[in-house]
Amino acid sequence: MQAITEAVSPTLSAEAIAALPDDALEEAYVVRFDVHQRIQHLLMIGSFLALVVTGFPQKFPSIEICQWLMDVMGGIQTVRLVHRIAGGILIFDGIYHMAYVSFTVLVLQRTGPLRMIPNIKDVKDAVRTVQYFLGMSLRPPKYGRFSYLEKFDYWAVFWGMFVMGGSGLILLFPVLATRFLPGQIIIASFRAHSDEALLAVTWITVVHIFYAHLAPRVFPFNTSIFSGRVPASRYRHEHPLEYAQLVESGKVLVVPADAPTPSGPTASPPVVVLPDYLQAPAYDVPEVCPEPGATLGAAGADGEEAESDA
Amino acid sequence: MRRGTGMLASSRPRTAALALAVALLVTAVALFALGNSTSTSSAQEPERAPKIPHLTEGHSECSRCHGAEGVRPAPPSHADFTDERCRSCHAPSPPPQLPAEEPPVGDSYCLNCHNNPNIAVRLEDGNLLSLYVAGSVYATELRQSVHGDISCSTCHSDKGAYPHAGIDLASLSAYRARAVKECSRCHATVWEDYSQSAHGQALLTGKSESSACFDCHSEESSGHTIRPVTGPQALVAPSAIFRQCGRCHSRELDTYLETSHAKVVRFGDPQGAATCVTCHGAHDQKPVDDPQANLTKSALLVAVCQKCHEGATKNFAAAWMGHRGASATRFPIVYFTERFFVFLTALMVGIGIIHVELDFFRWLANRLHRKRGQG
Repeated sequence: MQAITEAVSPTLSAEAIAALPDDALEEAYVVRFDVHQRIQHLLMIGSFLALVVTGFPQKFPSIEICQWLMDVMGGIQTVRLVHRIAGGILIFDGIYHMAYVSFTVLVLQRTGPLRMIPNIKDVKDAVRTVQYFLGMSLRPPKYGRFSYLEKFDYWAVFWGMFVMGGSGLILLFPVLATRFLPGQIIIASFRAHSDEALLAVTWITVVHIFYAHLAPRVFPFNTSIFSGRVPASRYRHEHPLEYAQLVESGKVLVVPADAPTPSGPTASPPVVVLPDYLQAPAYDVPEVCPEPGATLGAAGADGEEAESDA
Repeated sequence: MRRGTGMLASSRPRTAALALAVALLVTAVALFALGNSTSTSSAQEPERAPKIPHLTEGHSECSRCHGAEGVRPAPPSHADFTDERCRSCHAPSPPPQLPAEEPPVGDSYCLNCHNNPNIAVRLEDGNLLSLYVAGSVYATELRQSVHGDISCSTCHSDKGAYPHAGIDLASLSAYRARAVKECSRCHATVWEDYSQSAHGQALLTGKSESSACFDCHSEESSGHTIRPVTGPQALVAPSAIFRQCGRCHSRELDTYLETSHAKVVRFGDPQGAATCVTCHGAHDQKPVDDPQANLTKSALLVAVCQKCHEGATKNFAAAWMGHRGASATRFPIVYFTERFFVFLTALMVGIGIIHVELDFFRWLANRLHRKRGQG
């Protein structure tokens, strides 16, 4: 909070900020998520994990370890109750998110959330990224606020919320559901709930765990969804178009380097936050040469990435 | 030859048996007189207490089955009654088909011959029926079964004397049909249901091979290893019954195990989801194409669903897929949902894995390339 009050407008030009090397941006960060988005993610992690732990044993009664888990967790009745409560929390989380998005777009008249809508650039980006992976092009395409993969991930969860929430409610109230729907819908919901759950868990363990934890750039843990912040040195490579836009449009805050910023500025994200020593005209680019392959840490990886980009 | 020596060897016990029979006859007369005197004393009481519906021979301790922990607990008001007190009101009802005479010999006498692993009888249809009772079966398994304290001739009621009256069994089915009638001598109430059921009718009329009492109540299909109906040993408790039914009805078992009913049942849900017998009945199963059966017409099926699902409608009952899978014409919503999710899962997981792998290998390739450049 203090950081906000002491923040001053940057005197560096947009070009100067854009030209700062990664090493100079060690202390700088971009505020990417606001407090609502972070709470939404926390609620989702909590309820998702609870749902997986209480749901999967129910799917495989013939497996010994599931029987054991069920006993350890207090028997089918307790497990079922926890599963339903966690499901309720996740449905609430979905409603919270929808309300948040609607409010931001309709009342605050901000178009930020609309950038999640896929467009033709995403298709091109996907193709060009795969070309880059296959060595057919030297660099990956430049992403904006959300990369095509982030959009895909978001809409996968969006779809999953409707499938899991809807089928879960039908299974919880089958008699009520069949007052309006054909009886088959119960069995279809049972299959859908089970299959979509398996799909969601597979997707999370393969894709999400890789990009949030195992990917060299973020290893071992990308904390941005919890803190709301991403190091600027990484952000300019992951979302170069958005970073350039932020700098161009002056969405840059300069704060004292030693200012306590426990939860980051409350200025509506996204915003680039720079420590004030970068303002000094005599600021020299430190002659730091990151040792290649020393660690898989974000800074090291970024250093290498920048090298290869140059 | 072996059989011949057996006959000779039995001549000495035969004399002893005759003496024993006389002694038992005297005892029986005495007991009969005693029984009469107790029944006259109980006749003064109002005739409210029901008669004991099973044999009391071998069942000396009422509390064993009718205690608070027993299979058929007595009403709470009977909590601390002694066995004598039970009998003072509940008259033993002599079962209709008891052998005319008390068996002259005990179990050990039977085992003289039946402990021979080779003892068998050739049935009229040519099949061989083993008559061997292994020592461990007699000494351990039978003791641990619910019939642990009754003697051979209680169930093998026509074999109480030796030599046995003629062996007249045409086939194994006939043997099994004969065997279930032995059960009926004590389990009269169940017999009423069973003898009219799909299983009972098929077995008793000899139309087809079908389940006898001991097929469901024993893991080995043996009357010597009848398990209790409740408790961890039970084979017919909700958490186990489907395995017993599935021994014959394997397709029905496979489809049942796919249902939500089966999943919670297998976790021992204390609320008790539906098992085979919830819908089909325990002893009175009817063929599913029987017009009297509840499971044929959807209008009647609703009543079956309503046993557990309060307010279930015909629409709800239509969810039951009848132990068969879905197809494009039968339960299309289920069918296409299943197909769609197979497709979706393969697509998504495929995309996810390939994307992650490509990304990782690109990074690895960049790294190696750079190292080589430096080295």
